[in-house]
Amino acid sequence: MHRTDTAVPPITDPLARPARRRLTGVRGFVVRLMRTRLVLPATLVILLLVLAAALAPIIAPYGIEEGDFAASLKGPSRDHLLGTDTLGRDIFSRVVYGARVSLEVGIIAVGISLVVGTVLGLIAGYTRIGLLDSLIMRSMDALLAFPTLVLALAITAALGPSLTNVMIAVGIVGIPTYARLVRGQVLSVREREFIEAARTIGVPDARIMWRHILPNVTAPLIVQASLGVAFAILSEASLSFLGLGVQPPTPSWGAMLAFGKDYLNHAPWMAIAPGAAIFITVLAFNFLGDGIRDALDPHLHR
Amino acid sequence: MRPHDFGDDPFDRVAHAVSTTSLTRRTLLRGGVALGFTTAAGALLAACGGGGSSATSTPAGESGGGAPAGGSPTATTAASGDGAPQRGGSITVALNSDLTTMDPHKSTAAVDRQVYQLIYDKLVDIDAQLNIVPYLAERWEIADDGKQYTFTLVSGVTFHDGEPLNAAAVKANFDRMLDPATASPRRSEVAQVTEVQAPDDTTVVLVLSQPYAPLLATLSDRAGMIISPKAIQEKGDDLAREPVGSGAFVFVEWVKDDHLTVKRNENYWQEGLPYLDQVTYKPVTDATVRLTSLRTNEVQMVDAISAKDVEATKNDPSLVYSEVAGLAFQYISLNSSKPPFDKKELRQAVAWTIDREAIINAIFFGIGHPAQTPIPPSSWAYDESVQVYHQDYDKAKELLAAGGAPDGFEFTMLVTNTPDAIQLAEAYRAQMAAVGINAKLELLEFGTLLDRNDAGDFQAVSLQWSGRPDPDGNIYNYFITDGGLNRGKYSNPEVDRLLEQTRAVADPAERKKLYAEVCRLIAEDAPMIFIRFPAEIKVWQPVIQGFVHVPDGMMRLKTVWLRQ
Repeated sequence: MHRTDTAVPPITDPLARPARRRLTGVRGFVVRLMRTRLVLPATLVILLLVLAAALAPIIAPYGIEEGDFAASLKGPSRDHLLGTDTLGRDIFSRVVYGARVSLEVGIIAVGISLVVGTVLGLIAGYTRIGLLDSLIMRSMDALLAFPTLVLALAITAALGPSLTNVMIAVGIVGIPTYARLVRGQVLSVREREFIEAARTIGVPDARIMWRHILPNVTAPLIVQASLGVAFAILSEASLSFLGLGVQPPTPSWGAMLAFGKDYLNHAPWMAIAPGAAIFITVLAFNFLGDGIRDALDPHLHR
Repeated sequence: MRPHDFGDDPFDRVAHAVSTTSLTRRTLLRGGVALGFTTAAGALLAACGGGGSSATSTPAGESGGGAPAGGSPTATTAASGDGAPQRGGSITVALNSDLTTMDPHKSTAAVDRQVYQLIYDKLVDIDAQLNIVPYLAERWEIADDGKQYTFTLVSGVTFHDGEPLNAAAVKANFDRMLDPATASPRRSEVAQVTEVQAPDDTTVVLVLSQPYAPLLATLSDRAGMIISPKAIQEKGDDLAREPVGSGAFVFVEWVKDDHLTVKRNENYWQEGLPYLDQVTYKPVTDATVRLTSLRTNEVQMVDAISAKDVEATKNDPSLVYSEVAGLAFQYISLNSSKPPFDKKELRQAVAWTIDREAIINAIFFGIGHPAQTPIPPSSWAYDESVQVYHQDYDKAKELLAAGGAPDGFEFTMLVTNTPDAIQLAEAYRAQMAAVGINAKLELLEFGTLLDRNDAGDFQAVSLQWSGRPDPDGNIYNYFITDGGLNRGKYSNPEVDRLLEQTRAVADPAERKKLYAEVCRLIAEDAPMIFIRFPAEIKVWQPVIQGFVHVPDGMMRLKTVWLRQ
């Protein structure tokens, strides 16, 4: 490991960084993560969003419904950082409050997909009951056969438009991805010796799944979940844009964009502000997800 | 569609669902983001869309120099008739949605009427000032008791299938409309007609059970359109796709959701008319797309544009913009038969919170006219002196206290799920919130909203009525006890008495007085809060000449010709 006195230069890529001790554990993961390009700014953006969502009443200069009809469609100014909408409401304040909806949907919808998908994937992959496996996985295939947004639209249309139903719809749409991911991992893990061993000494299946198999599939799940948040936020914005999402007066970026797009000629800020918010947020979660994937990938360890 | 009593016309309302444009959803669907929606949903969207867009049409009121009472709408830009009309040429017209049927006795969609204007002739018509003018009937006499109408028909008119249009043909049409088996939405419009006589070829006598002043106005629309009796016999329900009228244009083809074409009737009875060889209608549900198609000359005329596009369109020298006071009104309906609005004080409290001018300025770019009654400025019965409500929070608070809700109350308002309709509802909400009235908005697909409305299953609903040439069509069925459009079960014996009188009295001056009186009573009871009279807007390419803009918004294209 320590080549201090060799005369022969090492045959390595000259651009490679000096060899470093391989970092392990959570700390190593975090260090590797932060070294990944764009993860730091992405993390900062996400932290800002979380702050904005948590402290919205303090940060936002106006309430979400506080409007002055006389000041409708005013451009950005000192009073209204991002201008006002048709009802004279402060767009900056609404974008800040909108972060709440986006994060809430992002996290809860992914939570639904993650939990349900993981459980289904574990059951399908671990229990050696062919019928059960087929049943679960064919249902997942059926769900996957629909374009995701169309499926989400259909579900919200059936359940009725509301924030909760958007979370449910986006959550359901995400389930198959996790189920397949987990099942695939489980199939590769379940034949390993330590599982055999556990089985031999009579550990119950549920415990084997929970204590021995699940930890071995967490890494890809984390990657998938962080990317899934971006997808969920985008889906919520799409559904709200189509009028099937969050109901007024709660501000949602997607709904704000839907209103704003009709006024692109008159008041472009109405669409630009929520549009930029969606763009930056989704980008940040994507960068973070990519970073986590790279940091967890043993082949990419530097 | 569904049968509707009293000429209740869901698609007309659609057409005017407060909504306005908002084609968001449709646009996206087109974009392929959401293929796969069920056809039913698709159809529904199409329906709403149609509505949305015409609702889009904005208010007028400004036209005629802000003297709305006169009832003489003026096009801001009139077609200049430079030179003599010339024969020939074809145009394409964008409608805000596709037609539902070509059978006027079955139609419930406002947009259907656009095409009927060309294919069918009507007994009478209305002019730009809403006067009744001769059409198939060259003259008529009304008996002194108002219970008998004698029409003298123009002779020598033939249908497109060669059959003669005579008194017997008119009788056959009334028989079909009045036959319960036809289930015609027209039946309730001419319900007072008990007998139709055809003593000779050119004389038709309608005998009424009671005087019915709005009859002629009714006959200027679908109820007055005459279909070939032979076609009625032979085609039956196929009339929906194969219309046979006597109009200036002959039906050629209809490709659903794509286009509908009519061509010149070479044997038209009105000498020299029409001028155009062919007219093609294209359904374009998105108001923005519609306007773009016009700008690029893909179409030469459009039915309605968004309020926000009005300013730019007016200033566009390459387009002709025409705005007249329309017949429609936007309203909030409060259900008098259910809490909380079974208390008159609470209805009135809501009425006192609305600032119409602020809403018109903020959301409709100043286009439109504040409404205090259902009778629009374009009507001879409009009475500007009926001014009941304006925004007065102190009054609203007093009434809240009187109604037992001093700190305000909460109710749910049904709103069409389109951005424009939502914005309007949010504006209402914001104004009501100032006195503690919390209007929760329930956003619904337009079809669902109409169903809920029809069933009386609402506390409040925000909608628009497309309007009728005679004031009766804007008020009677909405407020008469058990009226076909009276969803909130409003009932006031005095209002009933006056409304019946408005039908029985023939003299317009007398009727106008009665309408003013009944409007004041209705406003006092506040079963409905009238917000705004939208304008009737048309935009066309300058090549189009000779178009007469009538407040009913129907495009009568037989006088249109192209400048070469």
